[in-house]
Amino acid sequence: MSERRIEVPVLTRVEGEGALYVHIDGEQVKDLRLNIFEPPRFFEKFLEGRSWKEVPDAVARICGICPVAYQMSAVHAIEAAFGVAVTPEIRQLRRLNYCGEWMESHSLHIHLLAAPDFLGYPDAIALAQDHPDIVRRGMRLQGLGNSILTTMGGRSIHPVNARVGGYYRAPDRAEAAALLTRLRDAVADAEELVRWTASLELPSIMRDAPFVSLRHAHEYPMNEGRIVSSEGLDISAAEFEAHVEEQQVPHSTALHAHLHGKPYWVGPLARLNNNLDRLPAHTARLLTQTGIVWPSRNPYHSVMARALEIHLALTEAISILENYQPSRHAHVAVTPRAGTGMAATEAPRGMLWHRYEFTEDSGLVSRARIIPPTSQNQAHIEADLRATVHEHIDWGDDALRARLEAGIRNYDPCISCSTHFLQLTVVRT
Amino acid sequence: MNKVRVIGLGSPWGDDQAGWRAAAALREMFDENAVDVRVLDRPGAALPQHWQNSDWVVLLDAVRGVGEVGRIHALEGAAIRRYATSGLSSHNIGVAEAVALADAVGALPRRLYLLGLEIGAPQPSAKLSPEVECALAPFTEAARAKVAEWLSIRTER
Repeated sequence: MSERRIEVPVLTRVEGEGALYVHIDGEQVKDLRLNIFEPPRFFEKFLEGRSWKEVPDAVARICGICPVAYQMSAVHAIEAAFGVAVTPEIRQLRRLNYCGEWMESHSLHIHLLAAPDFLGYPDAIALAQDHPDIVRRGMRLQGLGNSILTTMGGRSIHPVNARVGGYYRAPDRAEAAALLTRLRDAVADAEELVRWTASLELPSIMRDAPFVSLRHAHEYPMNEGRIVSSEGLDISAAEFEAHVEEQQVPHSTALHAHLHGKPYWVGPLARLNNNLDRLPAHTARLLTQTGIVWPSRNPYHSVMARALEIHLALTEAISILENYQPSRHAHVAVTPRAGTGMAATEAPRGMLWHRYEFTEDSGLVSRARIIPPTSQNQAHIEADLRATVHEHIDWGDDALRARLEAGIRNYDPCISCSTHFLQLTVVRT
Repeated sequence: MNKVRVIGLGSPWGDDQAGWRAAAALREMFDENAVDVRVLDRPGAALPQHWQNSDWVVLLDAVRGVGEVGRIHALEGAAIRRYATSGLSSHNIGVAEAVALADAVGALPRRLYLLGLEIGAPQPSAKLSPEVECALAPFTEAARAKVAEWLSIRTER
């Protein structure tokens, strides 16, 4: 009986630390552990005693790639605690903001992280040398997402314009018009991107876990909706803690989230699978052209889900801007009060849930809780990797390592930066 | 010819602000109709967007690991990509990686000049270290000289 230990010791990056350990005994995976050390945990403590006004800017610092998601979940949760209702115009601006983040984050992931795996390149620079048009298209779409983020957030990294109740400043007519022209010019790029992702040769695997996402009454979910699963869950954000439990595991400082005691799956594929009937008509047409039977249980189809969401975000941003009328009031009045508010929004990587408690009317945060998508996906990713090892138990260590790394990257966890540097130690006995 | 573009890279913290400080000084030295100055905080893969439609671009950044603190490094064009690391991710795209990507897709400006000021370990301070404070003047002067050289080329044409 041969025994193999595949070990990834320590990965240290600013945005996250990860490690992978696999112990194979003959035909069995005796142990598999994905370690993730999530910086957002510290923010929950940092926020205690801070004013409600500081929260959106503080949580934007949790992630350089998806600050809008953190801001949006925070402002919705605090508005729920204070009983604040925003105007339809502010709601549209928030969707526009989210469109920018999906475009920016998804474009980065598809072209810089995932594509090299699917096309056999070590990284995006090598890929770009042989396929400059593909990477150039990705950079254009990512740049447009950034432009939306800069317009809405004041700057693309760590934006500062979102606040509880709306925005400090809304775009003026000229800014909106300039953005609209550029977005219209990119529709063909987004359509081509979907077709290109559908043409990729992707591993053909199936994974089984409940898809969990938001679901809105009549639109593709970003900022609002009920939390649903492919197995019938249908709850409000306020009920989330009664169904999802976070557990500490010995090998990770990140908590593993379980839905009714089992791993579950969040992210663009889960979101798409749960909301196929919420796609706008033009994006739905592209979906049918992929030739895939949806809903899909192949995690590698996430790359298509991301491309479809880029198309959806781009066309929705165009629609919002075409109907945009600058308002003198970029935010509504907010009066803090004692209370607790919960909200979930759809970060590029999946559902992001926040809860804020205010024990007094002063508006100082008493307690905060943040459950990011990477933490929610962690148990499911481990199950996926375990299945991958079983399916390819006869592969050599290098091939197996490459597939496991691609498998981790495919979920776009915040440790993506680290997973490119996995150094596996293999022990055979 | 379009404007010369100066891009200061860094953050408000410690010696990492060297690029921003030099860029701010240059903003006072040149006519804004001739020289466009901007500062960026970790633009990552978006850096090439900031030199779109610019033929002449000077990057000012704090650098580490290739000399003693206060040393000034100058690199031009695609030579900057020599310092790119493989394994790009969305979270760790630095200047060299962004230049490498831009070069691969043909998106480099006609002239690209990087001035790097060697710093020590980053400190969570609002101030520069004494060594970098001393080096800031020659660093800024090197940038001023390059911009002036390019402006004179523009005038001759």
